[in-house]
Amino acid sequence: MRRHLALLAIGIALVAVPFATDGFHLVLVTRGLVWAIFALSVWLPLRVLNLPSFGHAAFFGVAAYSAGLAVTRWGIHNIFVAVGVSVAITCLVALPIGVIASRLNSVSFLLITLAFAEMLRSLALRWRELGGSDGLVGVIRPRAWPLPVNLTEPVAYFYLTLSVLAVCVLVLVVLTRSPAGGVLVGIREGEGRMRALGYRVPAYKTFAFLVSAAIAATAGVLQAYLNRFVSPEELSALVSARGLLIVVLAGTQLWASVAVAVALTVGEDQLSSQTQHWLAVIGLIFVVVALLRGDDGRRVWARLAGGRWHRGEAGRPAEET
Amino acid sequence: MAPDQVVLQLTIGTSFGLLLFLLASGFTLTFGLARYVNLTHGAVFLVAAYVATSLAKQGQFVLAVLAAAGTGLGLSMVVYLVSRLRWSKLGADHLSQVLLTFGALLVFAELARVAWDGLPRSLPEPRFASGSFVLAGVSFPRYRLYMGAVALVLAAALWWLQERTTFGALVRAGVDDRDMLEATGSAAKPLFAAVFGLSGCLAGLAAGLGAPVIGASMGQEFTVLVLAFVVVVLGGPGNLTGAFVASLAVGLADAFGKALLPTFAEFTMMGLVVVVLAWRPAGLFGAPQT
Repeated sequence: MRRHLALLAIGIALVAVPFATDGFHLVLVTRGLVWAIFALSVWLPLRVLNLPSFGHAAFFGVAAYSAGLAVTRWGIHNIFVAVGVSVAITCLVALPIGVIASRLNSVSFLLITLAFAEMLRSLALRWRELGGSDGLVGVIRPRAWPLPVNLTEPVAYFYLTLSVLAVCVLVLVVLTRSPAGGVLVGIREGEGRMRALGYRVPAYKTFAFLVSAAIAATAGVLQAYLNRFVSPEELSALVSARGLLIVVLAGTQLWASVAVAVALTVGEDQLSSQTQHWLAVIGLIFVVVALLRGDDGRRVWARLAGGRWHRGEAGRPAEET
Repeated sequence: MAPDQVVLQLTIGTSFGLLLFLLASGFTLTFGLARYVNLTHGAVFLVAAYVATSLAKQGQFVLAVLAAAGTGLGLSMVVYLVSRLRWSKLGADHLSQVLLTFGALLVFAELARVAWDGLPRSLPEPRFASGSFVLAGVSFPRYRLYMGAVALVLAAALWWLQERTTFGALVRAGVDDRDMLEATGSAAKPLFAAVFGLSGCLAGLAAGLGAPVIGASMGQEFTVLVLAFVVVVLGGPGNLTGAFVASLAVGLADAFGKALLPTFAEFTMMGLVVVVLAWRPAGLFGAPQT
């Protein structure tokens, strides 16, 4: 009950944001929502399959570049077409990575996903058609036909991002409650048994990986049109690490990651205006979170959230939506 | 590609592969013994490389490499001591290790940026190994050969340490069964500290030896880290023999990738990863997964 109340409160607060803030902070909250969508994509492999991905920046970045190229080179002027094209391209990139990574254990999975993302980043840095280290400039926001809105207005873009976030949450809730979601949890709890029962384990894992990549891609497209600029930094390990950090801080709850993402984005903006060495401060935050995190911390979160707490091993949390 | 080009790229790739082995062996040892994923390894390399280049005067080459090794040792011990604050959690949970060591990587990289203004630097080749020589019509860069030879000697020393000393026997016992090692009366903690130190030292040596070839520049913490990851996963995490074979393969893939497809060099590496892992998901020398 309290969980639903919290969910309702966050929902109302988010819908009300444009009425309560100025343009600058609205853009900041929109960016927070983009990070929330990205965190959802990291949440799926980590929480459902217990596979920590350190390479989702690859899908975020590939989609951001596709979205940028869609308006600057390919003459696509509708955001829904752009999202479709970018997600399709990202899934093509994610498929070989997913097929390979789904056969690895969790540590090799983490290392290889990070390696692929970094290799794509150095590719983008040297590929002149993609702008090299300057990135893609002149990215304009496409039209939203058939919706009667003008996306160049911050309020319209905010509500678009919020709706996309809602759709992504819905997709994940439906997926985790579906029979396929049950199979995924079964794989997490006992891969050998699921294999013995005749399930095609790598196929299920690859499927979850692709869904997750598609969500990361959606976030990447929104990021590209929000910034009107795509830089190779969208592919950097910091992006993947931020996604992991949000999910870890949020615990097992999906909705908590939305709140954490917005709070983290606003905090990071404050920080970067205070000191030019904000990367070091972010690094210290990672260290502190890693030192303090634990089952106890998560139990506190779960109690605050009113959610049920299931017993689970470290890094193998309870099944939650 | 002309035959002399092929020979040259083989040389460059092999010597770079041997250098990569120094970096990756530390990572794989720490992982094999302590089950610890240390992403800071990349930043240790970066800072050590900067330290080496700041001693750039000719004739101080050996000093620069030793200083880099010392820096690596020190930084790696910092990571170990910080992890020690909550080993009960960090020792068993890879996600916490990754968050902590990634944070430490960002901090070290930012410190390097402040200390050296974020500018790329290089170390001149030592006088006794500079220039190139011609053999059978092919021009060989002398320093590359020197670097490969020193790395090979260090790799042999590592093999000796691992296979022929009591310390190595303890480490191997810890990799196979840590509980049994402790049950026989050998504490694992000092062993962990020693392996962390050794791994930092190896990363520092790799940074110092590599400085005349790849120099020191921001962003390196990720580029070298990724190569080390590929080596570790392809060889089978925790396996030194596997790391050795994989580092030669990765070094050659890197050299030929850069020579054949300057812009898309990464594709050769990605291709290597995909082919090897599709064939053996646990790595070349890794134990089959259960």
